[in-house]
Amino acid sequence: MRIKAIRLSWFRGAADSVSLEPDCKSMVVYGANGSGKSSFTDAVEFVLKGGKIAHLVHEYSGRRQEKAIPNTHKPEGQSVSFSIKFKDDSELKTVVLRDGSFTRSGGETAAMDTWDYGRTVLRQDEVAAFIHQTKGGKYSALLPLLGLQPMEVAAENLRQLARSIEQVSGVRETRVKLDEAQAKRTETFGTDSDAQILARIEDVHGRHCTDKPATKDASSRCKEVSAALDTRITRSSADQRRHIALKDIASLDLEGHVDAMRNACGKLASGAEPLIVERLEVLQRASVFVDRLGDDKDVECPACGQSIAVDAFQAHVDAERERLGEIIGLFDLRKAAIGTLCDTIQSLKSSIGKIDARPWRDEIAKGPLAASLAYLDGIDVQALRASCEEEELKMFEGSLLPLIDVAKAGARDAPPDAQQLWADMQVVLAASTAIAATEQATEVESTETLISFINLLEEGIREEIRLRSRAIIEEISEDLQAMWAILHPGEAIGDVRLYVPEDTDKAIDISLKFHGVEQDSPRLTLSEGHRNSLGLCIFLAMAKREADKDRPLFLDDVVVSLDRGHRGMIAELLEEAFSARQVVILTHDRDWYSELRQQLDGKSWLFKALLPYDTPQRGIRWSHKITTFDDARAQLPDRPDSAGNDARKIMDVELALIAERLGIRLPYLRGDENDKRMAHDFLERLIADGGDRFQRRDKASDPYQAQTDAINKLEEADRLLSSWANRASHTFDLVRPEATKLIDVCAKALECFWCSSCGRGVWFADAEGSEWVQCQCGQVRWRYGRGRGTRVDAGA
Amino acid sequence: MPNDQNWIACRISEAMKRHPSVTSSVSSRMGDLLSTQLSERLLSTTELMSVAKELITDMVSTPPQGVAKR
Repeated sequence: MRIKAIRLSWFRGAADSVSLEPDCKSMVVYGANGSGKSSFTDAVEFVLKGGKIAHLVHEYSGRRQEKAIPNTHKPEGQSVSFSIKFKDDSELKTVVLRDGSFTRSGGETAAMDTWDYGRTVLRQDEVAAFIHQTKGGKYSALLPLLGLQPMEVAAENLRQLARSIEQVSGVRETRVKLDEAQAKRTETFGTDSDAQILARIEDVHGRHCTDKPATKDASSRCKEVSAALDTRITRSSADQRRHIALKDIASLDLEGHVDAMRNACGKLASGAEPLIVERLEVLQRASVFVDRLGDDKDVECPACGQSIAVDAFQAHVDAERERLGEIIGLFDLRKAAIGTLCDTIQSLKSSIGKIDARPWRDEIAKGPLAASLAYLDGIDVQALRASCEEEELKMFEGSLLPLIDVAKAGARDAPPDAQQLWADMQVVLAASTAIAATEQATEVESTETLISFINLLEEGIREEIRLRSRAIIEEISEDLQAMWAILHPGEAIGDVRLYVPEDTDKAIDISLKFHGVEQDSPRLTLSEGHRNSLGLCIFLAMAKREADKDRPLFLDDVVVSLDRGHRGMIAELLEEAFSARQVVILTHDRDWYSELRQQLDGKSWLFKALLPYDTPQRGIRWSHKITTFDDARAQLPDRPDSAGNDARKIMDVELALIAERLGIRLPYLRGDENDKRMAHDFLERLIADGGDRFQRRDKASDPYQAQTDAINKLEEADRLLSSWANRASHTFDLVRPEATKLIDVCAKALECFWCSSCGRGVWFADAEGSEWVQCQCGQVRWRYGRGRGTRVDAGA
Repeated sequence: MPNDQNWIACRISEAMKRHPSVTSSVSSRMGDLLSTQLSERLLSTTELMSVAKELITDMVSTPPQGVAKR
């Protein structure tokens, strides 16, 4: 939907009500730095980004940018607002409230809040932003354009779903336990098969459960044996029970678990960055926090209080989780190692605390290991699960391992009966674990299959995304190459294209040939100017793919680092590729503005100039003229020299362009001297030719008359430029009345070439074949070509 | 993709060939999910957990089927 007008009121640089009125046409707006032209772009961005203007976001702008959006001198009682009127006369009205929040009404048909900012607005500081982004950033920027957002969402949901299944089922932890059970089985039964293990249980059952018939169920059989063994142990002598308790203590592999813990910490530390454990903790909590944010639009940074869009925060947390995926695995391993170690210490505490082990414990408490016992009693296992460092590990080795060693020594001379009972108990425990593990293994395999199935679906979708991305990117690349060729004809930088890197997910990059050599990134060889030019082409190539061809484009000061040659080609590019689109160009480049006025088709383009910014109370103001002498006038009070100098510069540029459009022939000069001609050179020729070539009539029925009055104005301008403007440039002694008159005379001289009736330049249309050009209504005309009086130049 | 039932059925069918032990309930539920909520927006942790539980139940409560229903 094209835009008819944007009206601002106390919004950014605007004071009371100022309107940009392209009236659904394309438009070029000139304004010196600080004149307020970007305030109109800000209004558009405000709508497209739901109340945010990216270049205003900083720590002083306020949570909702309430300190940056209103005019600093807004009177009490006035409201900050803007409205955007569309082609169908619907109007989107936005009122920004004191706290930066806003209300919006109207303009539903345009659905402007659904427009993609990246294909609608390009600002000076964003021109090369795409090029400077990471491959992932480029992918994200292009994603809306690729139309693959739902697939990307599906793939991401599948990835998260696989993780959720892992989490809900505890499959990873169960797999670790299964591995431990397998180790225990191997330790107890070696390579015995299931049948051999069942036979051993049968044997133990036969010896301890003589009163019970053997059940078929192995698990029940184990329970029966275990109960029988407990009874036997209870009925054993105190010495036997003590030995069994000591064997329990002696069998704890504390040393192995301390080593495992140290190993896990070492792996984490070797591949990690500083404070990685703390950072991963924060990241995991941030991840939970992000999930709970729901539909909130903003989140405040807990550190600086700055408001961040939830989307951006979520994307960042996800990207960090992705980047740190391997380390997160090590982190989980470390947590598992801590868990096992804590379980072992808990077992040690409970085994030593058993009534059967009390005599042994009392004995130890009197000896050199009394402090170790006291240390063990004082360990808070829950606290240990939260934090276990090297210091603790050393304490375990120094204090707890000696306790286990003493238990091992004490268990060595156990009576045969006690040894057999303990061995049978271990067989039953190991067999129970093995049986349970077999059942769990089936569940784990089932869950792992489910996860693998979901991962496969995700992979399939991502592959489809890659295929479709490549196809669309090829199309964009074709446009990109065509646009680059217009801006850089005959240059040795070519074959510019976007590409999806092989074997990389969610990534897009730019390649080109620099003097025939393939380059993987423009950042390797391109100058800043070329990068900006490329950035502009990429934006336009993306914008060209916009399905709604009636949406406008805003180009805000995008040619800052382009030289005159390349800048001049932009008009051609816009005319060629975007003649059917509404384009709003805002620029502070006076020369380019003048060039565009001459180059772009006046039927579909409007030209407006802003006055230099005066005070916040007066706000943004339009010049009533399309030329740019208002800049010069603004300098009259303080710097009349500069005002005069500016007037001369404007005349140099404007007259060069007029001379070109009117086919004025000038003597050939060697080299780039042709580009250094000044206003006087053009005026001299225009005055000489204009006597019989420049004509005017007041009514269509009147005959054309020579423009004597116009020639007089040109002569007066030429005279003053030669004397006063040169003084402004060289001796700096031009006084204000002189500068004022110089500007007025120059402005009047230029106005001669524009029709006072239809407002078009005298070169607007062909008239009477190739002999004449004229304004739209035909009131003024100029004869060019090989007509009477034409001089043959070439050194004439 | 999201509303392309054939495309989704095809993806599920291919994945089933690689994992024939996946049950018909799982394949059916995944087909429904992919054409609706999974491709509409990013699900919250709670929602994902809920779907995960349903899929785990589907996986153990019905016999495997080699071909997707959809």
